[in-house]
Amino acid sequence: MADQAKSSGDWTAGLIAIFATLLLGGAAPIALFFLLYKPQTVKREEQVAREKNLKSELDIQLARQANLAGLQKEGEEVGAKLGELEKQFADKTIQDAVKKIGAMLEANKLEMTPEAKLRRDTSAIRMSDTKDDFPGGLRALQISVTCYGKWKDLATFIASVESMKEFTVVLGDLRGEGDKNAGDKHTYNFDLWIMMRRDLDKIGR
Amino acid sequence: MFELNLIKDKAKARQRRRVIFLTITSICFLAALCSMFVLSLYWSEFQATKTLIAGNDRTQASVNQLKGENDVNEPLVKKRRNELIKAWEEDVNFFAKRPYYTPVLNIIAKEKPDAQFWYSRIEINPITAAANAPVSAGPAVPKVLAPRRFTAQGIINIKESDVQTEKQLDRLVAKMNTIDAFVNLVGVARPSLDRASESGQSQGGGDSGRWNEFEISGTAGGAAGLAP
Repeated sequence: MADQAKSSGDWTAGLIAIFATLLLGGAAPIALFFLLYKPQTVKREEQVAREKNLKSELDIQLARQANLAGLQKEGEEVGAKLGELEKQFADKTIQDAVKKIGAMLEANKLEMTPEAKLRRDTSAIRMSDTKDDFPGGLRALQISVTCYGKWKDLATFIASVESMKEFTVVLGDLRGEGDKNAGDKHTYNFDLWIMMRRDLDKIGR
Repeated sequence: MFELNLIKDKAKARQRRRVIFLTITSICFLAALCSMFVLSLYWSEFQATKTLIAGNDRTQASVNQLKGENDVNEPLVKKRRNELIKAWEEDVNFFAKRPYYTPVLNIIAKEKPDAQFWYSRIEINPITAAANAPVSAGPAVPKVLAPRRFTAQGIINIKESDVQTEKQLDRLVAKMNTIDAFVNLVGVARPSLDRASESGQSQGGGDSGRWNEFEISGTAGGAAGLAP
């Protein structure tokens, strides 16, 4: 009996040691799994989700960039069309237009009024600083003309002014005073609006 | 007998220790093996995460760069394009609505009443909005495109009767009103004979009949205005 008790007592410590080793040995990989591996998988999943979001955001930005190129092309096309239209307007110096109108007055036998001749005026055309600004940036510059001649000649002159190709001129106030002595030559006062060319490079910049 | 038992005990104890040692060693070995397996899993996850982070950081940098460029360029390009379209529309609108005086001047030069007459004054004026016009009236129309008002004053010789002369004026104005370009510019013209201005004296060398002042006028109803 004493031998049996002694034998089981000899195993007890060993078994406790084995059990303890088993617990510790089992705990080590489990602890590693939950303390290292699991948080790392969570981190990786976060990065996968972030990658997905970033890719969709990148696609959005690339689409915006492509759209931007489209907008730029569209703007250039409209700019080219606008440039074609604007060719019919006078550039910053309207001297060419004024010279041409002066020549047309002469060609249509419209001369300075007798009063202007007495005053020794140099031209039937008077320059002015009056401008007419359109809401979208188009601008017209006014010049005034006082001339003397036949009504038919005025009508021909106005027709040729309105059909000019290189400049666009619009008539404003027009006043024709009949000759008081029943003659066939009358006095005309009228404003001409010369349409000015825009600076295309500065539009929207 | 006692010595023999002692030897046996020692042998048993040695065997017991051996068993315990081997068991503990095996357990430790297995635990280490499992731990290494878990560590290898962790390492592969760590490497994958590291690669993902590096890739994501690169993508993030590209996104930030593109977003920055787009945020700067997009408003500029849009503004330029919209302003160009606005300018083009304004030009097109101007060419569509620009007023031409030629039809009005031509018909005045060509058409005459049967009676002797002449114009003493002819005016065509843009009708500009009054400075105190209500804001609700809309944006101001540029003077160039403003609707026009037409007034022609003259003197006509009445040989038969006022009614006959008025009919002649009506016929003249009716011809003016058949021209679309005329009506578009200055509206429908209307004649009026000022009977109070009657004068028996000859004007312009004539020596018969009476002389009356007349007026032909018309006002466009915004036909040449800017489109809203």
